[in-house]
Amino acid sequence: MEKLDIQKFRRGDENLFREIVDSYGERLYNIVFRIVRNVDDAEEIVQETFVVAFIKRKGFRGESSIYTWLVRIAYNLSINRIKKTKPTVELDPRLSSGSNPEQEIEREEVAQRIDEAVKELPPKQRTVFILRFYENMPYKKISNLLRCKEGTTKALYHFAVEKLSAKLGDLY
Amino acid sequence: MNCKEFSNRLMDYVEGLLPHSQEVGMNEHIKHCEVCRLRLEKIEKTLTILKEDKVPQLSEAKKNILFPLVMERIEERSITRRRKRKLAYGLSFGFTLLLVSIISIISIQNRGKTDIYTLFFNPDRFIYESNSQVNSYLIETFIKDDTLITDIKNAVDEAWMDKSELAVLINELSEEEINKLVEKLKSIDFIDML
Repeated sequence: MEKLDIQKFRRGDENLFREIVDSYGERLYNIVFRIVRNVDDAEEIVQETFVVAFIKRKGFRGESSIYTWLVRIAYNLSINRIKKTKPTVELDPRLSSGSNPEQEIEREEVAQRIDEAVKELPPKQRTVFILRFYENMPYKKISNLLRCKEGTTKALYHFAVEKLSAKLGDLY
Repeated sequence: MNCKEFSNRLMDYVEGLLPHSQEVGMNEHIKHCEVCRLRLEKIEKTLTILKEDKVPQLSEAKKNILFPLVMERIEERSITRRRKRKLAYGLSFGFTLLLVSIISIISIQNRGKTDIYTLFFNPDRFIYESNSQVNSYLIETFIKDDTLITDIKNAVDEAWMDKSELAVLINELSEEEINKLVEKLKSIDFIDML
């Protein structure tokens, strides 16, 4: 997406808003899914993220990029969802495809173990890990987004990797 | 390099962010330290597994429907907000009406009470502080009916001198004039006046 016309966005220009939704919808979904680990919840949270962004558009002052702002909204909504939802491990929808039953069982086990391990991370640690590992986001940007110090962000990432390593260490 | 230093630089090492000299130090350390080497291997393997953890893709249909769904939600939300605002206006109007009615009823009820005001003919208390309407009425009554208290009239014309000045004026009245004032006060129907 080209440089955002902030005033136009704040005025509620529908075409611009459509462009934003089209540009960032999938990227947000990828992040949110990794945080909440549930397709339906992730889709719902992404929709809600854009609704909140539109309603609160006048509060966007362009201090960060629109994408960072959207990720912050999505993160807050995801955290609220995690807090409300009891930790359950459900069958991962990715497992329905595949033809070899043995391979499928193995993948099912791996995916389920990853689900469990990620869900055991505290929400903030989980988010730092996802933004750093999957989105290649710089620590500084993550710390701005989560409103914490850069050193803390780095430490959270370190803890997350160590915990995941301890949980998934016997998979290979 | 010791194990603590190795641990502190581990994540940067894994991500390939260390300066060359430190990277060499890390490589050297794992050649001799089995514990750190195993730890590093475990982390690298875990990250490889996690890298392969794919997110279930959104179908094209879902991508296309995202914007209309969002707009639909925004519309629903604004309808709800409008309803809430209407309800709030309605409630506040109702509440105001109720409040005005209660105040009116209380004032009507209070009108019938005879013991709510007490007036003393004492120069210091002559001006009844808590109700200037009463004062105004009294002074007006005296002036209308009697030209005796002309000084007080002047005081009124000069936009209500303060209490102490009026008290001085009353102090200066002769006994006869004070008696006349007392009689006048006795004849006033305060209930009507209030």
